[in-house]
Amino acid sequence: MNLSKVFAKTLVTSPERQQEADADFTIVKRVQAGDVAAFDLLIRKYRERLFGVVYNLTSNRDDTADLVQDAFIKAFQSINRFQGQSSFFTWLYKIAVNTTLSHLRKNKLRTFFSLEKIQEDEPSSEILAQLTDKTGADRDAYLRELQEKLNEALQKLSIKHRTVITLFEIDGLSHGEIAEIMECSEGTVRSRLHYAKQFLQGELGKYLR
Amino acid sequence: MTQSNQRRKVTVEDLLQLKRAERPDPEFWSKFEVELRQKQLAALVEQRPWWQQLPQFLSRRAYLPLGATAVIAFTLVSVRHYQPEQSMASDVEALSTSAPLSAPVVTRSETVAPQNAAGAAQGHDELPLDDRTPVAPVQLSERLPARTGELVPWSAPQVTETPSARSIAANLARLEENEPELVNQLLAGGLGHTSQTVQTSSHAVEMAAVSALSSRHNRVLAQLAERQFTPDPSAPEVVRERLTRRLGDMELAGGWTRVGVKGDRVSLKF
Repeated sequence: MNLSKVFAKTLVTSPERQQEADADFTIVKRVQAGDVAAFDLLIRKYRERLFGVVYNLTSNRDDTADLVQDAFIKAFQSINRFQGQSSFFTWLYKIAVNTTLSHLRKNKLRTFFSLEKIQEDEPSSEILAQLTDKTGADRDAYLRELQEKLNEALQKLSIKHRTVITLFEIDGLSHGEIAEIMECSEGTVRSRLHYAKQFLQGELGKYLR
Repeated sequence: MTQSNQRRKVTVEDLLQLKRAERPDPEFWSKFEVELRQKQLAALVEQRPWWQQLPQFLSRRAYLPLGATAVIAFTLVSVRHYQPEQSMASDVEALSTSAPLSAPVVTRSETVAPQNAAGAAQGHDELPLDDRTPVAPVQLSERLPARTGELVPWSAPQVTETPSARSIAANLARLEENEPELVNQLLAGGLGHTSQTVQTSSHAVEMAAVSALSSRHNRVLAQLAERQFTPDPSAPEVVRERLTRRLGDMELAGGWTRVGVKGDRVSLKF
């Protein structure tokens, strides 16, 4: 398991996550008190993570931008109802996931995929090095093909299975947090995760070596 | 050992890590921020219609006690109105079916007509007191059968479940045989003064309905019917005279307040 994944899993159960939630709640209280500009802090903090979740659910950049914006707007409009019973980021994720799922259900037939460029930082470059020994144009073509296959395989999953594997494997949330966001039990989350991984293994067997 | 053997196996999790690395360029975020700012301002200015705010209101937990209260209130109201209406309807139906339409009628309010009965069953059972002007003595036996079995139409088995109506009718018929004048006075004017205590009329049908509601009235009427309104022969002459005079008095039927019930005993105030 690579470092980023370990870090993500550690964050879930660590006290740092609690401190983060407390800090978020302080900002939320400022917004609730009328300091609208304080909401920008929350936007900047979570926009990339939210983008990652929504993008991996939709596989479309433009739709993702709209959905993330809508999620922030909804959160802003409902900020007075946030009582701090859960962490702000869980609450925000819930809004974003529900907005995305609603969008996906409405537009089942309209699927336009777009690919973001893979940022070759340390973890991804390590994996890419393991995947291929190609260089130059061949490598770029291989990566593009891999991205497309990944997208296709994810889109073949049902919305719920896709959401679970996105939140767990890509965004690094815990089973409990996913269960809270999706309003189901942890057992259901584990079951969906297991099924989704098996399905992806079958679909992406060519790249697993 | 070759280079390929040195590589560890690539898993699904590793491939999904690549998805994490898919991130938009910085220009995307500047555009994103501008668009978000515009939407945020629009959301601040925009007045949301009430039907869009309704789901938010319903999603609040306040609707739970409201819903529970509404359900309880509806249940109480329906239970409260269901049973008396049914019993009144069955009583009225029993009397109206047994009474001929051409029977002599004393007062307008005493007219035992199906439409009145239906109106009484629907709760529209009150007529103005001015309409109850006595015209002629009542022949109650023509309207009310002496036997309780005749009250029950075969098509309405639920009537048999209201013994109060049958007992009242039987008691009144028996009372009429013994004391026709008293019955006339009771039906003509006596019950008209009881509006302070119970919303009744002198209507025989309504009386049966009211008696079905009030077991106390039922008992009083039953015991009145059984009682022979003749003075006790062992009483002194003065007392017997007074009793006879009072029993013939119009004020005897002047009100149910004269009738008292204590346990199994009935008392009349003179």
